[in-house]
Amino acid sequence: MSWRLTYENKKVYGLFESTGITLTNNSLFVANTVEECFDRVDLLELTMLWPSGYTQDILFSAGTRTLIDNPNNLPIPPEPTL
Amino acid sequence: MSKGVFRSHNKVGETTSFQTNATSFDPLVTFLSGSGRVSWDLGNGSGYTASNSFIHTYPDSSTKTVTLRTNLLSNLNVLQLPLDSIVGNLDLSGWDNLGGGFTVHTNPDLTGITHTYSPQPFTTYYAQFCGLIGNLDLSMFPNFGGYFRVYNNPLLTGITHTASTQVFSRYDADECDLTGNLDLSMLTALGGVFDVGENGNLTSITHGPSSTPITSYVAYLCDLTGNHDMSPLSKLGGLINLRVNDSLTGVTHSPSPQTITWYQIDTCDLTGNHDMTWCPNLSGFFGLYDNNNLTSVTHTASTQAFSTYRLEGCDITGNHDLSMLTGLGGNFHLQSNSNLTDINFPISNHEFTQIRVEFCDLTGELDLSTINLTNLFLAYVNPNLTSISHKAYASTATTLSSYRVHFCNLTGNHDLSMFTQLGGQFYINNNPNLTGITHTASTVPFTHYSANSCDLRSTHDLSPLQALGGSLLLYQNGLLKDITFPYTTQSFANTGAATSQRALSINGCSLGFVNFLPLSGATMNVGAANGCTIGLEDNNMTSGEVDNMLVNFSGLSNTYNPQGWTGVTLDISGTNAAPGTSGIAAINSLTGTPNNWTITVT
Repeated sequence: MSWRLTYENKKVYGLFESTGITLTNNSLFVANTVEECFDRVDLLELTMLWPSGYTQDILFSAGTRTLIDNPNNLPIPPEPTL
Repeated sequence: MSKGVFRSHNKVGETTSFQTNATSFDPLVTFLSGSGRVSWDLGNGSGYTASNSFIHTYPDSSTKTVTLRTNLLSNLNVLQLPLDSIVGNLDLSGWDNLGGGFTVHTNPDLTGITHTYSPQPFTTYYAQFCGLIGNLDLSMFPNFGGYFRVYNNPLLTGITHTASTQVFSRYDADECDLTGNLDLSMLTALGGVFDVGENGNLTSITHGPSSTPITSYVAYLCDLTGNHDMSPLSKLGGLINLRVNDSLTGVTHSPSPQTITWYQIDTCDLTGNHDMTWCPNLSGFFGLYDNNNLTSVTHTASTQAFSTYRLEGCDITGNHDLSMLTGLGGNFHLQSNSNLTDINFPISNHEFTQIRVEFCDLTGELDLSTINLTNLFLAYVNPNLTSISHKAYASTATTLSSYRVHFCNLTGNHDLSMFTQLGGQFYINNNPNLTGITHTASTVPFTHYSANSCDLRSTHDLSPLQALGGSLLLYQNGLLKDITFPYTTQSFANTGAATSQRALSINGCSLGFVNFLPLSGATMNVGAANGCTIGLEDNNMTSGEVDNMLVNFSGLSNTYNPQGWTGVTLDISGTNAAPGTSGIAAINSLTGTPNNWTITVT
């Protein structure tokens, strides 16, 4: 079982764990842990969203990580009051 | 700023003096009866101006002492000095027939007004936007009423009244610094608009009995403490707003025949039951949300239409009975009441545009069969909710664009065949005993469909959803064997890089061969920010089934829709068997130019 990071031109196409064989024309990075893949994303300054908890994602971009709200899970804002 | 007796030449009479730094000065006085006239020393050495109403322009804004002279101040009734830059205290001693339209508003340097007894009634008393300091003593007016406006005096800490039976059409003392109790027990015809909002130190208001209709009652952003007794106001109606009084634990009403169009007491400390049975004409906006100790609200029957009903963030406990509110509709928010186990909805023909009951403890069946549901329905995280019954509803006028009942315990088949306009966001994932979902034809585009981590079995029929798109998550349905896809022309894309964020994630099921060709009109949006991935791993596919899947994809990418199906990422590994000869041939084609797929196989 290993983690596979497929990417090209700063864009991540997938980060997944598998025992299989990955065939691709894109760049492929294989690691034992997902953290190694995260570090690779930072090193190569790739852009990627990764889930964090229920309502947020980690945005990897230009070598930094930022927590952002996941719009799919945000509560509906209440209507204005008097 | 004094009243005195003046005897010099022909200038016999009484005077009132005050200071102004106006550049434009336009006073007005009227006599109680007859046609008297007053004279003005404007304090600039220009002699006397004999007029009851005039406009004088000063050369600068220096402080002048103005003196009004008349035979008897008692003969004067009305005084109007709005926007006249009055400075300091306005001493009206001797004006013992003051009344009518008293107006001194918008004098920001006016720090006080001294009155003397007057039996006259008032039509207006306007002293808003001044700089009144301390207490405003009006206890010398036994016929006070009309339009009373002293709002926006930031240093005004109290108002003293005496008994009056005159009708009040307005009582505006908001945005002051009223402190402690405001005693209005002697005003027995308080009505119209009452506003004491934004007095952060106002802890209570004492009312006397009044049967004058009240159309608006506002006391928000104060410090009302304990129970607020509004029961002396027997014709309360219109708008009631007591929101954000942190220490307000209860509000007492008496029965009122009036229609309530807005009732808002949110973000207080209402405790226990809040009794609304006094109000048979409740309507419009009803909001008691964010009262953490509010455990129930009791209503009486009302047929009036609602636009909003909000009780979220309280502690509503057990069953919440709304069966008597037959005009209920619009926005309905009861979410985040962790002890709420059931809701009795009325038989209502009004449309609910939002129903939010997520994060409660709804238990067993939620019966929505008597109401019309559109736009948004959120009931997620109710771990004991086993079923939801919907009204057989054939409307095609409005869209149900967000249907979210994930993390519940829906059991058996969930029938949504009544929703002909289902689309947008659909979340029903993590219902571990949900075995099936029945859809009817809908052409509304989907942006997300998740039914992962349930117990969907056999074939899951998505063919009625003719605009399925966005992302489709059906993973971890261990007994799911097949999917019937719709002939959609929508796009699919990942929402992130993780397996749970893939465009089509159908791993961890029992899929055999699944025909993806109905999706040949769809676009796998590889160019989207997060690419486009299909996850079919861990389905225990045989080598033949894997081969057929790969040949199926090869057909889509090479023949049926090369533009929409190139560059896709596919994981068909895990517990699936390794591909055979035809599968390997398909892989070679798919991963080569121009298809450029990324494929992971066993």
